[in-house]
Amino acid sequence: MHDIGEFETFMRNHQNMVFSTAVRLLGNEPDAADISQEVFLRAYEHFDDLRAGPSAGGWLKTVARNLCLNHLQRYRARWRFFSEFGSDDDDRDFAANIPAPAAGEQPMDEEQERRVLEAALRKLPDAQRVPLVLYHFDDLSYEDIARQLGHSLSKVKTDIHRGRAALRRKLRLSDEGELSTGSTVAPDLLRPGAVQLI
Amino acid sequence: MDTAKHNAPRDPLAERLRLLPESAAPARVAARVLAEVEARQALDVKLRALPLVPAPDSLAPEVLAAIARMQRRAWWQQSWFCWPASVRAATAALAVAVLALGSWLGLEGWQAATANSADAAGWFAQSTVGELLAVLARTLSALARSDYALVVFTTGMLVSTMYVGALTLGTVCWRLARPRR
Repeated sequence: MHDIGEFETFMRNHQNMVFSTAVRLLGNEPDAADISQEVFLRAYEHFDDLRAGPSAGGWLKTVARNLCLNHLQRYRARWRFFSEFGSDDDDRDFAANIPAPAAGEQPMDEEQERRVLEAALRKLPDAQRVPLVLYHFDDLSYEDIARQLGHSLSKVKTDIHRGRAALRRKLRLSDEGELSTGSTVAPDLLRPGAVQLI
Repeated sequence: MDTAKHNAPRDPLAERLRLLPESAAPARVAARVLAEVEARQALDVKLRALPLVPAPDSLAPEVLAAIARMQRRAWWQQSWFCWPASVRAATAALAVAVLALGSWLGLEGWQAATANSADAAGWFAQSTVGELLAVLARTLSALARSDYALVVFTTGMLVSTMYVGALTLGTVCWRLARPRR
């Protein structure tokens, strides 16, 4: 039996991190809450090792990630069906169906942009969201992601690329907008009539 | 009209690149690649800057309630490793004793059954599976005619021992692998 008060403090210190990991991988909050509960019940069983260790956060994140991937694997047949057997147009249509910004619409402030990005991330198809989250939030390499998901390296790269494209469209991160804020690509290249051979 | 294409945001960079002359194709490609890399980096920065999603207020109370339920369970409903040491020692000793007793009874029965069988030596001398099975069938048939009760008793002990051993092993493995909450 462990000290419940001490465990509760430990749980409250890490619950946001665990829940964020789960909700970004699963894309919905009810499932993420269930997974988070399971993570902390397992943490309770190993609390003697975790309470003082510096790697508690890493342990919790790893367990949360594995439980989420197991949860998604249970629906793998349907996931794979829509991911691999769907036509290429399906992913393009998802991104293209994001409405174009209205004329005269004010640019988003940072808070609004974060909310839009978080919502858009959850709306991505599983096949794009999961590898993208593993890459950007868990710092896994393409090879590690491919190994963990049981996919080919090229499929992982393609799915991440499509996910990024969909998010950029949602945020209206235009290439020209990024170039105009101090980009290394010389604007000279874009002037009509400018020719530079590489 | 293709609704998807109609709704797609227009790419200003693509529009400007298209205006370049044909001879600027390499420059167009280079500009596209570099712009793609910078956009990817910008998105990476924005994603990593996202704050943590707050956990629901009900998460901690639900976890604590589940822990309280776990602690209220009787000891025999928990994992085998949570049982009292004396009970674990007793169950382990019982499982070993059942397996040992069954093995001994089976061996004794087999030795008694083959002691008076003229085909026993021939059975061990056979080299093909078919001949082995044929000899085994003749031996069992002879035993059944000579001492039917012994054959039934030996077979019954062997089957019972295997069943109890498998059940015990399966229960232990299940408790170790999937403790209930």
